[in-house]
Amino acid sequence: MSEAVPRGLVEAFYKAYAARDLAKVAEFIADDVEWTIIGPVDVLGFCGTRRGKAAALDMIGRQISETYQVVSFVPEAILVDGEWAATINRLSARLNADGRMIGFRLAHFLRFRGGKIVENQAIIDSFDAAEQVLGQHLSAPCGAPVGDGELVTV
Amino acid sequence: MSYSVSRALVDAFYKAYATREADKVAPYIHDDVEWTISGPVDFLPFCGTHRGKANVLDLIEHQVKAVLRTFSFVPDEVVVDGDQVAMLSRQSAKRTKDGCTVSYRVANIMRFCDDKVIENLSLIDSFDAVEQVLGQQLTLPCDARPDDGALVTV
Repeated sequence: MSEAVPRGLVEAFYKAYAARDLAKVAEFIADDVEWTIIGPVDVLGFCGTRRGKAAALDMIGRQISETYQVVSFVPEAILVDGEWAATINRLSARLNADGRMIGFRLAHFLRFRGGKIVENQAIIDSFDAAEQVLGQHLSAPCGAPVGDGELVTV
Repeated sequence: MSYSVSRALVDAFYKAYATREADKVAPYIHDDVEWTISGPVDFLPFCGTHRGKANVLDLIEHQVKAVLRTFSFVPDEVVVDGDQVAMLSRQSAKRTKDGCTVSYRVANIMRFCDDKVIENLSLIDSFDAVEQVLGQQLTLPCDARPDDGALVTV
């Protein structure tokens, strides 16, 4: 049977993650972690899957500090269930390039083993995030129908 | 003691939800439900906040059935904690208009009250969803290039 993760450990991870305290964050990351951010890799370069602790920490730490400063990262809800935790969070940050503020909500689905994260799947409203990062509204190709009844559901 | 939703009820809910049939979903929807889908309303008209059971059931059944021939809803992870539930799922649909298959990831973060969903937040990989609904890649600003330093993190 898998080991249940204590809520206190999850909360401790998010305290370190919100503060972008990379040394402390590292204590919660397993060597064989798989860290996936669901989204368009060709538009948001951080999306995709990173395997291994070093790659995950490099994304969390180096790439972030080169591009923006986190203003706040607030977990709005933390759910804990066995080896899994799920969170909904609100992130605000200031882009280094031009000082613009960006902000959006994101969900994490984390699996723990032995007190460390072995899997994370993050999902964001990627269209909104892309528009904020690019600083422009995204448009449909010429002739592409919008709002004509084509609909997917969630 | 505070209310907790059972895993069995959650399982029953998402099996009903997968059918997209109002009479099956209705028993699990609270009269005062607030159902929010994060995404670009201009491209995906179903996005936004829908309040009240009738509006939510209309969204789930009628708008969907008008445009989707088949549907698949497979939860990869289901996290249950007290009155809250988080699901990470893969959804697939075939557009009625042209038979094109649409598939993307979605997170549902829900709160239950009296064994009914009273609050839902859906986060989707909306960039991917929009491109699939349009059937074409979105037009990006001419200077938007991958790995150009524009980066946010999740």
